[in-house]
Amino acid sequence: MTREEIRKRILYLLNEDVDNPVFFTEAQANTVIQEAMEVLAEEVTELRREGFIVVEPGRFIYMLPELSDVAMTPLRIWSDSDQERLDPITMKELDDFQERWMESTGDKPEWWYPVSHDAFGLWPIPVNGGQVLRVEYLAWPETLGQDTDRPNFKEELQDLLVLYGQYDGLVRQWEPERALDIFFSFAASFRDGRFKSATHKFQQQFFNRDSVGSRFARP
Amino acid sequence: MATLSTLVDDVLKRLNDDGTLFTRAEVTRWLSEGLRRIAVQSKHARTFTALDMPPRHFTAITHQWESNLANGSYRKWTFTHQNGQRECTFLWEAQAADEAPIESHLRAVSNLWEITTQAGEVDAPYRFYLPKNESIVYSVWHDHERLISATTSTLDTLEDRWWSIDGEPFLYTQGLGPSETFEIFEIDTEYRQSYDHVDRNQGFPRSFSGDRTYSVDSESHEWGYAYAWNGESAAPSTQLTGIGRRFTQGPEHDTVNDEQGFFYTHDWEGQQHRGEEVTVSTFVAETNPLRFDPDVDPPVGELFNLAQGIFRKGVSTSRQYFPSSQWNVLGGCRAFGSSDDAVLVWHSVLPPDTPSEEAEINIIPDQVRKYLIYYAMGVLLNRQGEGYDPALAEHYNLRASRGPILMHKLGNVSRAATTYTRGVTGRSTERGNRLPRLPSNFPRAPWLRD
Repeated sequence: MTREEIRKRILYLLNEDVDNPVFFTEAQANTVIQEAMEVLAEEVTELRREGFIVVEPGRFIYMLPELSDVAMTPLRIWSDSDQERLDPITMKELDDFQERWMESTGDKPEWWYPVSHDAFGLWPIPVNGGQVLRVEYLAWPETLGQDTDRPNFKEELQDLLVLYGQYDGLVRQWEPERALDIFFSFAASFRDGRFKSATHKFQQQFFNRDSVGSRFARP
Repeated sequence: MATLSTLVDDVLKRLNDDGTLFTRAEVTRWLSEGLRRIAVQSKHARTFTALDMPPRHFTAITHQWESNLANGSYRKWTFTHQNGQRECTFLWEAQAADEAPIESHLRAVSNLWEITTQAGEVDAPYRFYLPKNESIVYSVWHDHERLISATTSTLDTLEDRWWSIDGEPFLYTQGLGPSETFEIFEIDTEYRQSYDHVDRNQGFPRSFSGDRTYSVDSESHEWGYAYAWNGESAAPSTQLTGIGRRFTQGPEHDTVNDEQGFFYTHDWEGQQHRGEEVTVSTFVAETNPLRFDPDVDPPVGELFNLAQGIFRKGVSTSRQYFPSSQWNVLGGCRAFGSSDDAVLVWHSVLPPDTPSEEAEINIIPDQVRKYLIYYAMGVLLNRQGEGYDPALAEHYNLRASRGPILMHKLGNVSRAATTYTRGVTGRSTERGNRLPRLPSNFPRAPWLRD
């Protein structure tokens, strides 16, 4: 469905004139569709994108906004230059691995670790830089700029956008009881296991890595 | 950069109010609180802070009530005695006051950096003061080596008067100090300071010096011309290109002609003009008005001087200059730190607690701002009076509660990664050898028969 089709369906369900809505302007409806896509992306964790970062010499902390404004959290980092995957690690594990890991330098990064919700670090600190890192990340949806734009969700999920729009419209019309009924239908989609497979895939992709016991033992 | 103002408009639209029932100030307050709530509950925003050794604090106080007047971190350096009626510098004063036998005690200091000025132990914890926006400390390193966390009870069992023992730091503890502080053990009493912000009350740094080589990468870092008074800088742009720098002092009011605009080079000129006694000036007039001339060696300690703009980014091939407050990308750098021979703290941060419509919302992603709206709606609709709607308020509260959960999930990747790691270090997944089992009809041992 295009944004226009979604909006019209929402307005129709709200008993509004789809061409000249009264209580729910087109701009408001578009904002709600965007919000619905964000909520869906947060709950389903299905949208993935990839971006590229060029490693700078001596620099080991990188911010997600450098990658994209819609980046939620990194999933996988692949060194395109070396054709290697960078394994995720934590700073505590790095502390256990090496006393002065913060000073360790190398030709290329081998591991990455989270620093904040929007920042991650590379180890060892690349001396030369120049490597291209392919970062696969979980994303929020991009903004739909035109009526002909389509949400980047499966068709079966796009019905939920309509449902959310109806809920939000009812809230604005001060009909909380009906609104909450609609919202529970919307939320039930997450509870009934409809998206469990997608969530499970996400967890596997992010956390599935080799045993680190032998590699982390101190010499 | 979006501010709370746009969210205030959105909330008022949802409430179908123009600020009559719910004032903008009230909406702003709850939006700001919603932001803090997300940060407090999720701890998603984390950063590094470098602290020089010995610890620095804003002011030293004698009585606890002075802390209410301290506009920053404070250290109470006295010993309270007799129900707060007496503050002692040394413990022997308390003994003297109570007519107890007086013993010699360790020396006292008001600021911890004074530890470095004289030999001898100090009877005070080696306490570091964290930034005001700190929430939780996750890790502490000293000179890039991680310090182990410990409790004071553990340290009490290890050593007598452990807080004053010199040595190499290897533990840190929350200690018994006020919140937003921590202590390390053992203590390194050597005076170290990474950067000295000279004339910090004058604004942002304009030049850098040190044992490293600094250079500036900016098209507008050199002065195009020098001039003596404002009129010259107003010359046609065809004659003057670049950025001009005035090398004179002033202007001062011209008392002779009753005009503004007396410019002078030397101090004595100004003194003479003002009719003051002319003294020998210690000010050395600049012989190089441009101050940065490629053909002239720069003065010692000043390798460059920004002609325009302020320090925005530092780049090095051997280290990274990391903005400690990476979410406040506007403004300038007011303080500099280094993790070399210093203490580095990894901690979560909170947004400022000063509600303002102009406040920037940069500590959370744009997409999470909707949870601030839900929080404000939940609070406003639950307020007694017109607009009271408990059912809808409860619903919005439920929706707002998803915000901290989401950010916790995004910001807590480290713990999740550890939890889901296959084959965690030190945990064997192999099953051990089974214990031997005897058949049920095997005769019991004689000594167990009774």
